[in-house]
Amino acid sequence: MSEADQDYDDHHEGTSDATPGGYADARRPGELVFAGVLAAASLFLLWEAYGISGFRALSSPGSVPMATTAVMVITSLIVLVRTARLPKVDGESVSRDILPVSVILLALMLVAYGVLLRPLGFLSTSALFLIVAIKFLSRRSWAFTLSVSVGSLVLIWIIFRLVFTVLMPAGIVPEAQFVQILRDLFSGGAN
Amino acid sequence: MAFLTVFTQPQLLLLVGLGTFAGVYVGAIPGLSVTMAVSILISFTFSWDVYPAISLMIGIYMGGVYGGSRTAILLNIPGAPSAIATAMDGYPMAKRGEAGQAIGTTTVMSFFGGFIGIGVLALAAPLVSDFALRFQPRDYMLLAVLGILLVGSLSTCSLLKGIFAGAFGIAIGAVGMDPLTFTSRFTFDIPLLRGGISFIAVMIGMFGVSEALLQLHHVNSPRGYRGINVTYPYKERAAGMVRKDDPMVAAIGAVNTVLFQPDGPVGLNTDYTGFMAAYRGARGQASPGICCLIGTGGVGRAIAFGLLALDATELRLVDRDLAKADALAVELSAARPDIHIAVESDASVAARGATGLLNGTPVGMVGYGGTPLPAPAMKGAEWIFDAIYTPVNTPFLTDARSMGLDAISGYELFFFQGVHAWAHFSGLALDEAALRRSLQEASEVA
Repeated sequence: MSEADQDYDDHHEGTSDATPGGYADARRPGELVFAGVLAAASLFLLWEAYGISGFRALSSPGSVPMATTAVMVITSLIVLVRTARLPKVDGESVSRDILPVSVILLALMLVAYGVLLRPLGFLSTSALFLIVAIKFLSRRSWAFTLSVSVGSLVLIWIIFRLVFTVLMPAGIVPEAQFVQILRDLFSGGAN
Repeated sequence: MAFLTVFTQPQLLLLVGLGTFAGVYVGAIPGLSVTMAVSILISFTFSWDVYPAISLMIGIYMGGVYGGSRTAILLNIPGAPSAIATAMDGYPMAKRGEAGQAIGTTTVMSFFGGFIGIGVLALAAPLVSDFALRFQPRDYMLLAVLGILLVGSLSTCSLLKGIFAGAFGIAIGAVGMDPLTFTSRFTFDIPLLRGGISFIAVMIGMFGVSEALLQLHHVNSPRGYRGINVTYPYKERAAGMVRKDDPMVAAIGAVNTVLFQPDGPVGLNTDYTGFMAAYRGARGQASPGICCLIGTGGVGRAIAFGLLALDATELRLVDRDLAKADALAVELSAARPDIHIAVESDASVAARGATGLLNGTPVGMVGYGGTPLPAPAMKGAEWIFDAIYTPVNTPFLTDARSMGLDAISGYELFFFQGVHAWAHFSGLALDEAALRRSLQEASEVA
């Protein structure tokens, strides 16, 4: 570990939203870009809110959205200016401390999960996601990967689909037939 | 009185308990809300009597509201909206290893809070309902302002970012149709957004996904530890789980320091090197001579191998459990066939003619007391070592000093095993004198 690393609290080991990830007196890599994106997005939302009903009346459908987005614009601009003035942190890089390859890959996989969920269905998409993610992150044997991913998926499916009867996109898996077979199995004696 | 019915019918209490148990798990699963669980339950309880049905539902409800705190504390993913604040305090505690305390506090506080709530409800329900009916849009507005003010007070680091986040939250809440005029707000012509963004989706995304992505930073460095120090009674178990590069460490079969190397964990034993450093510190290059070691378990094993490495001329092992001493003697002979190893059951007999006397038993420790060897039996020895370091001055050491022998305290072993472990962990030298001073000061404060 180099000296620069030790200056800032171990790179926020396991930082969570409960403990803010920034530093009070320095700017982390990418922080300025992020503040800029937030400010731009706030401006866009303000424009969008203005489009709802304009300045027609004080109590129009667009007034609350406009007020909130105006607050967002003002605060994000001040944050942007303040962030720009701070000195950059030494010894941190975007690729190592902010967005490592694994984080980008997993984020992309989450997006892919959302896209594939409807066409492929919950079971096949989740199985695919879990197997790839667990194999990639744990780097353990295929037996471990398959048993953990399929095992947890079956457990979740039983709890949500069978116990709580939450409907999930069936996709290519003939899920309804499974449920029917299981129902027949349990009610077979009664009928 | 209907209120007391519950306490006269044990099966009702049982149903409350069962409901609470199930509710904790329902509440712990994000996305499964308590309201949902209770409404699913209605299909079961519809045909039941009114008391059992309500008992079960109350149990599920109470358990569910509390259950959301479990995932909030352990995973930083609130299982229910009410647990978001729990995550803020509880998760940092869990990371410090105080998850048990956090869960305990939440449990106790939920219990009392729940009872206060029930009490207020029971006593004030008529008043509250009158009050609630008089709630006007103006009052909802004030309530919302109160919420925004709370956001400001909770965001301790940056008020600006807190206000931004609060406004952003309101903007997310505004997505969809305006409830009065049915104008679309922030829907970007996507039909799905017209129904608004559900609270659960926002919560999972903001808390769950962000936490999962943050955890990825550390996924391949187990907690970022360079190594660990292992203590009684896990030294033998740890030895079985690591690679032992040093044949002496393999022979000892106990490990007190583990280094996480890129190619797997490596076990080291700084008890044994620490003992050697303690000996050299006190007696320099002088040979240990004929040594009598009392106690052959735990630290005794490390000391015995240390004596071999220090080239003792003869080693006499004393233990009440002769089989244990015999087993160690066989292992020691295998490691150094040139050194004579003997086994004795009586310490006084073994001490006769020995140069060094060593205690590896807990005799003399705080709460144990006594001495492993009576003072007259120490006659003729040159040096003694006591593995015990609480207290620093045992009767065994005091006897030896009063007879003019070189007496080495177990504190030295304790000190040097730490110094050596540090050297393994960091690869850096250490100011031993400064460490001694600060340990001295720390123990005086304690």
